[in-house]
Amino acid sequence: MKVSEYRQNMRDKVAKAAREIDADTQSALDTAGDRAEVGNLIAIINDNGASALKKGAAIDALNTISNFSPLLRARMPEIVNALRGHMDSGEQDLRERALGTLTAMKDEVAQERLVAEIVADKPEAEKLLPTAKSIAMLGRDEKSLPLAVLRQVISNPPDDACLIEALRHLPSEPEAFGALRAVMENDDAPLEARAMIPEMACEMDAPAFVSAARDLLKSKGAEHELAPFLAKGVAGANSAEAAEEVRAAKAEISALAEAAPEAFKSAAAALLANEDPPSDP
Amino acid sequence: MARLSASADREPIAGEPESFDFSTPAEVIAAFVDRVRQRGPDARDALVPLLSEAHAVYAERSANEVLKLRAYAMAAFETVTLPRAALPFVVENLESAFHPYAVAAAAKALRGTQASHPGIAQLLTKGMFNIWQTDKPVSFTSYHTQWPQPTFATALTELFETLGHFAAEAREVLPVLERLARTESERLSDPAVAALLKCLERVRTSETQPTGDGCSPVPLRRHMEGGPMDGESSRGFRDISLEDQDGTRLAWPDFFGQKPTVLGFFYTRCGNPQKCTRTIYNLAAVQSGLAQRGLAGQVRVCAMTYDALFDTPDALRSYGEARGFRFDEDARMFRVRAGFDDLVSRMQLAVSFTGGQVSSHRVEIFVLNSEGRVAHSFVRLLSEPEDLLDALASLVW
Repeated sequence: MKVSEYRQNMRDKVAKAAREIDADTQSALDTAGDRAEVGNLIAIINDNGASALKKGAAIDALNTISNFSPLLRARMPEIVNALRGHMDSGEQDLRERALGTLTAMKDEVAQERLVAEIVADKPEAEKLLPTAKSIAMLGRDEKSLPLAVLRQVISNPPDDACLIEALRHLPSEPEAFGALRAVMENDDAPLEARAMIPEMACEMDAPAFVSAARDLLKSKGAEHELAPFLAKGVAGANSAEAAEEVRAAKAEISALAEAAPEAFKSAAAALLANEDPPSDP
Repeated sequence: MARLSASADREPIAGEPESFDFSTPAEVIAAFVDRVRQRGPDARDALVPLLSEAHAVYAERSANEVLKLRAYAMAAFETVTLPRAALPFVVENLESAFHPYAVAAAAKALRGTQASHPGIAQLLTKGMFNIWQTDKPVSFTSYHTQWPQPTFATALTELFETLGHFAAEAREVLPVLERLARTESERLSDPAVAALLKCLERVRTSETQPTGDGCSPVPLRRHMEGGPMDGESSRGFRDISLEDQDGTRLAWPDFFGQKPTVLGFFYTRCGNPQKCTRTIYNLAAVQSGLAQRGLAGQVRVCAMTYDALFDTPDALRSYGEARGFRFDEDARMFRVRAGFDDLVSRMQLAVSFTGGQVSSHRVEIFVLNSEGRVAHSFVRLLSEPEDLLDALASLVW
């Protein structure tokens, strides 16, 4: 097919889509512009007699039209009031929908509620939402997730999913390095979590990371599952403060690579390829 | 750091702590505010220290918690009456806050005074337009409110109620309110429309002259917070080391204490366009006005980040350039490489942090003389470039 034919084909498809709006899309468009219909959705969410299923569907409908309804801005205080009323709902699905919608709006009341749940001293099963999900929701607004809370989760994660989610949202602050190092050195932690750490730790405190990486490579060897990630982390350490440590680490990695598994060899090759060419005498 | 303590001229409040700090649970602080509210006007001064973001109680709290606690304390002035010492904080929230709780608290606090303040109606109107797009339900009846509320207030409804409270002063913004009701009510929530109509009714039927409380009218902006005036010369800040937008490292006295200097604090991650972004735009405007004032080459203009870890030299340069700041030997942006806590203490900066990130701060611009001493402070309330140029000129001529 020629490029011009392909382009025409795409234009035809776009034109067709614009002409033929399906029933669902038309229904959403109708709802979005209908004051009574929007009011009805809010009333359903507030209705004590309505089923959780019906309320959840009303929340979904509001979410669907939220990007293009000219009416929602004016109704936002009513919607937020209604949704906050379901933050503690006994129905997990409804609770999750309400909290998910509110945190997407960066609603501080919902954010405060979720932070309190993350740090609450109670079993995961009794929390409003699984901790991993709470962190993911709060992560939409970096200022809503205190570093102390993330460090608490990382130090004592209820499960692997929580650890991974907390690491994903950890800001690059040097004071978090200790917590990261502890996870990196813990062979019982999932590799998915530990593999994230070298790059993050290097950004937080490059000299400390390179030093820790050298210690780990010495004690665990190039065969260890984390070793290629450590080598990649060292490759990212380009701060002047880490220059001496990096030079020493590169020499050690180069020596280890000779008899190492392919993954480590590949990481080491990338690291050593970054080296400055020797200057002319 | 400011501490809560019983002042000498009043009885202690039951359970009043000698000092709160970062480990004090929010609920304990809120309970203290509740007790002050029950006690009434004689206890109101105990709430003022809680308005400052520099209070030890806000260290290591999330931005949300700092904001909500400060708002909770501020809203209580509606009941216990508003002291003058609280006015800068109230004005700040109306000028530059975009958060429903902060704006609503300021509006409620103003209802704790009957005093006539010129400019109060414009200030409330400014708050109205700041919060227009992000209005939400608020409640100050208790720290942890049960939702949903059968009827609820929002920041906008609180602002309209306060405009109605100052009905005589609000006559000057009557055309704005009427236009709002006539052409924009479709874009307001039902509670906001109801509050606007009630406000309009009060303003239309009010006396033409403010009645006040018998005191002379005092312009709101007269109540400026103090800065580190008459403090030590910053030439002595030898242990504070800096890095500029080019990565050049220098000690504090290498730049300060040589020429009159305007110094603005900011950080690039600040999400409030009326604070850090505006500070840098103002400094760029000062640069533009130097030649016209005959000050070119005789003064320095600089900005310093609160967030040295995130604001690398490249970040400083790009943030400044995007806002029209022109870099040269006398115009630079810095991050503090060592001695930041010392600087916060010596300059009495009002900023709180959690996990190394800024959680709350005020607007902070200082004009230092050629000895490196703070000669003028422009803090908390928004300032104009002309004010900064006047301050610089006063140190040159």
